[in-house]
Amino acid sequence: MLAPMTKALRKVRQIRQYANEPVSADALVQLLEVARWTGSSRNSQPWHFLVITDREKLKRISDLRPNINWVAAAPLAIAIVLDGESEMSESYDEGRVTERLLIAAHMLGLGGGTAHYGTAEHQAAAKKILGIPVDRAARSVVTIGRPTSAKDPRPNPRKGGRKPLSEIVSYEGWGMSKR
Amino acid sequence: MAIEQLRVRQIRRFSRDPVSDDAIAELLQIARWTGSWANSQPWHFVVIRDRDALRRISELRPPMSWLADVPLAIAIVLDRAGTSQAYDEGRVTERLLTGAHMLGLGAGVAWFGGDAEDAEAKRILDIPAGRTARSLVAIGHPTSGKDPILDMLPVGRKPLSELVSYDRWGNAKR
Repeated sequence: MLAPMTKALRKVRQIRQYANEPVSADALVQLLEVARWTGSSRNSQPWHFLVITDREKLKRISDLRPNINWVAAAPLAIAIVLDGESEMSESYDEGRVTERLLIAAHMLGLGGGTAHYGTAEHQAAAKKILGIPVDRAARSVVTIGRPTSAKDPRPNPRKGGRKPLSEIVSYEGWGMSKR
Repeated sequence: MAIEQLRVRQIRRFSRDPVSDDAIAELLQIARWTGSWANSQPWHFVVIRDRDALRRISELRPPMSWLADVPLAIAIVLDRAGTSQAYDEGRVTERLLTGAHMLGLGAGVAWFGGDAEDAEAKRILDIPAGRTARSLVAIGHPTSGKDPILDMLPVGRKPLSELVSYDRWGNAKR
């Protein structure tokens, strides 16, 4: 069976509650290397990673809106900053590098979660907090730490689970079920 | 699972061997369990092994000619064309690339190319016009051949010193 090989990958979930202990310098370097080597549109590498451990900055980010208040207690966040040249293509690449960071955190025995700043006003405020130039795009951070719980601590947690494959897969053409 | 397994590169040259049904089932589960914005799961996956469909997609534009020979492609169909769907498309693509690598396979992304090519790909795959479809992930057994796309691009990556700041934009390591 193939499942055991990839089971760990399937089990990667967002973690938003962490132990009150720092992420090691060694783990951080590994995470940054994983981010650095992620593929991007035409190898444009349209990103910059801002490593945040400063408690006051994390607190200010967490105060942007109630649904990201859990960021205040994260030991580490990596803000993804994009060149701001192509919103659609950079969003796709941001998703790619975010996913790698979540998987890598899991492989390192840590957990990762994503927090989006919110509206354009929230994004502008986050850029101010972090000193990011206004012409760059910055929408989210990936928080990382040792998990204490996989529960979703947000005021309005999302329903878990996934649609069945029969609803989300077609074969050879739209709407065609397995032969 | 070792972190070395995350050194995943795109593969665009495959042997003719088919991808096993087991591997396809596993890849679809990996895709299914990928996280998405507010757990919206804004996607649908079209599994393509039909040679004629793959050939027709490969003819959408010259840089896609390598698709004619791939054993399998999974087209990602999105509910809408927004940036949050693009972000989720990137997430599920990355899981598929990683999952294929873990299964001893290789995978590469192909973009249909633009509005006209997206529309034509949707026609080929009978995807409703109201959905968004712009890319697919091709999967197969890698051969050691060169990459037809990457060979045209600069290789390697910027150094961390150019890519990383600490606590504040432009701050080098504390």
